[in-house]
Amino acid sequence: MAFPPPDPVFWDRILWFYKDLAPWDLLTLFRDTFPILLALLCLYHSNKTFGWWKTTLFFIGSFLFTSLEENVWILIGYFTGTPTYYFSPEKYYLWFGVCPFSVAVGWYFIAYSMVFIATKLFKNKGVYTRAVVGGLLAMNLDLMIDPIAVRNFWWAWPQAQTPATQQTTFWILGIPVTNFIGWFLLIFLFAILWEKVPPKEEAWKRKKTTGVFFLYLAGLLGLTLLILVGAQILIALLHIGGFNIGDPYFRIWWGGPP
Amino acid sequence: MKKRDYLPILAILIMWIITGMSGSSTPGITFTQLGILTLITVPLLLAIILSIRAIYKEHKTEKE
Repeated sequence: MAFPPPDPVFWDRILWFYKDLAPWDLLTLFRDTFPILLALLCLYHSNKTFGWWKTTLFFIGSFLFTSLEENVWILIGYFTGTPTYYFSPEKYYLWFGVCPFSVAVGWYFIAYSMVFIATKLFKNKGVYTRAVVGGLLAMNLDLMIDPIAVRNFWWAWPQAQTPATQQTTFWILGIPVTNFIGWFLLIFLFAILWEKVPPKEEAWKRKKTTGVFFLYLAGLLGLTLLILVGAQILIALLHIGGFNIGDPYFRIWWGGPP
Repeated sequence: MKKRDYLPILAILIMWIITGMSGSSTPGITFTQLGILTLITVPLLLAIILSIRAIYKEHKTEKE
């Protein structure tokens, strides 16, 4: 299996919003629109259940939280010379920086649905239990999405190309474990924020609650990135210390780099 | 409680099906590999079934 080179048109699509890099075909159009259609189902449900303010808070909050994390994680890799991952420029039309719009919207409906499912399953448990369940369910879904996405080159992990960098990261089915940690953290932290802050509306009033919500969101974004960088450093240190952290069996079974 | 409560679950189920369909049409992914990927998501499918059951029960209780 041949892996693509690091993002060849990085600077061409760094800027918002539409980039004419993908050929016009129905499959690309479908890839760009179907997460939006699924998000509309959740927006409708959210608006009817929680009202417009909470719906807007959840949508903008999860959209910014996840897409900014994706952007920063990609940019960190690009500017430190150790490319993390990138989205295929010819597979999407609409972009939010270096993250496809459909991916950011996809994060919204996945976050909303997982938090909803966790609430239904563990109605009588605490906020943290529900947040853990929501995070684990999202990570579970990604265990199926990511390996298939990488095989279709919807996005790519250039580190997988070289044997040297393969060894410094723990891979699961061709995907670094930090990706799955990130999936869990994003939904887990956002679920806590969602359950803790908006219910304060009555005491704090809407304006203050909105401000506090986005302030915490910025803090959580920083925390997520710190944990992910920390996890990556820990894995690299384990490698230097001589621990075998690769997954050669699954990599060969799933189809790793040549 | 309304029937629209099934919508977020439906969204995830559609996502799961579309991903599976993409996997089945991806060159190089074998039937066994796709089967194992599907097995990995059993906890999610279980959660989906249980949440549908929970919503159904809520609806039933409300009607009574």
